[in-house]
Amino acid sequence: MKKYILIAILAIGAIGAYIGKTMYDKPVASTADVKTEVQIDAATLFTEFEQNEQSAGDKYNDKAIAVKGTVQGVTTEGDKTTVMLNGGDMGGVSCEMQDKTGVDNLKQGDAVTIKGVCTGYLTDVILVRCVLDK
Amino acid sequence: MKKQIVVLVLLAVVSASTVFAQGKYMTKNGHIEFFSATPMENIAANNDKVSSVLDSQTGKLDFALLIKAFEFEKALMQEHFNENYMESDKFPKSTFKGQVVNISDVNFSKNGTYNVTVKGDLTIHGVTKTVETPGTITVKDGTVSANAKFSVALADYNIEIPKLVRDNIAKTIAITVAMNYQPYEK
Repeated sequence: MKKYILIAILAIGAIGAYIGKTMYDKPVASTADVKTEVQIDAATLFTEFEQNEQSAGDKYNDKAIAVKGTVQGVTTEGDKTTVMLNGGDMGGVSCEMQDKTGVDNLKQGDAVTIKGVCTGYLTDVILVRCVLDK
Repeated sequence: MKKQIVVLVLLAVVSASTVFAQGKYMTKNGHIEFFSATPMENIAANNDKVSSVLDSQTGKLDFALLIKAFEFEKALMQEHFNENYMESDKFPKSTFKGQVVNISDVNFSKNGTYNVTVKGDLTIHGVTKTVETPGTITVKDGTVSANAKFSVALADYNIEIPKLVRDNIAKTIAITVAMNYQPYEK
């Protein structure tokens, strides 16, 4: 009898450890699989951050958002590609791409929607882990 | 007529000087990595959205980055990093404002890698400390890049690591800086 209890405890412990380890090692979610909470225009997003960084940050930071805008340029540095969306004269929305599908074909002036996670505002609004939304 | 020509020439000189004569370099896609090494595990996080401006004449050097733009491999680490250790809602940015002390040693019109010393105020987690580190500036066919490696002690910036994970996170974090600058035209 004692033996079975011991085995049961060990089994529960092993399962617990496995679940814990899986949770601990869980990779960062791909933005493609995340449902966006907000859909917004690049110029509107930029203006909101420019006017009140704090309140815009509270509203958008850490959230997956879909940003609609026109392409200002595409830059690649190392293995990272960034698509800049026009946000007006003062700056724009800088989107660091997680998935480069379709990005090579983008030209300046193209209208696109990009899904990404908002991280805040430096000279531009910065989105990371972006994917091109079809 | 003469007056108009003078005005035109003046305008041309003024606009030319504002466009070219600044000697400033900037990037919005700079790379900063930090690395924590312990016997338990190694943790790396990368930020490829660092803004930086380097003034080749005065040596003034500034960096700014968003804490939330650091990317980890594991979701839980990224969450703990932002919520518990760095408190990135409260302190969303980290900045460095300083100087390349020996900027006159760098010849921006001649290819080469120049050893430099950078000194200035580093702000992390709302705490500002003066730091000094060696680094390099590389000039290659008109492009300018900068690299540096230094370490930061978490305790210096009031970053507390809970007991439970204390063995997993190093007390001193290695920071690697790599910037590729473009001429700043404005």
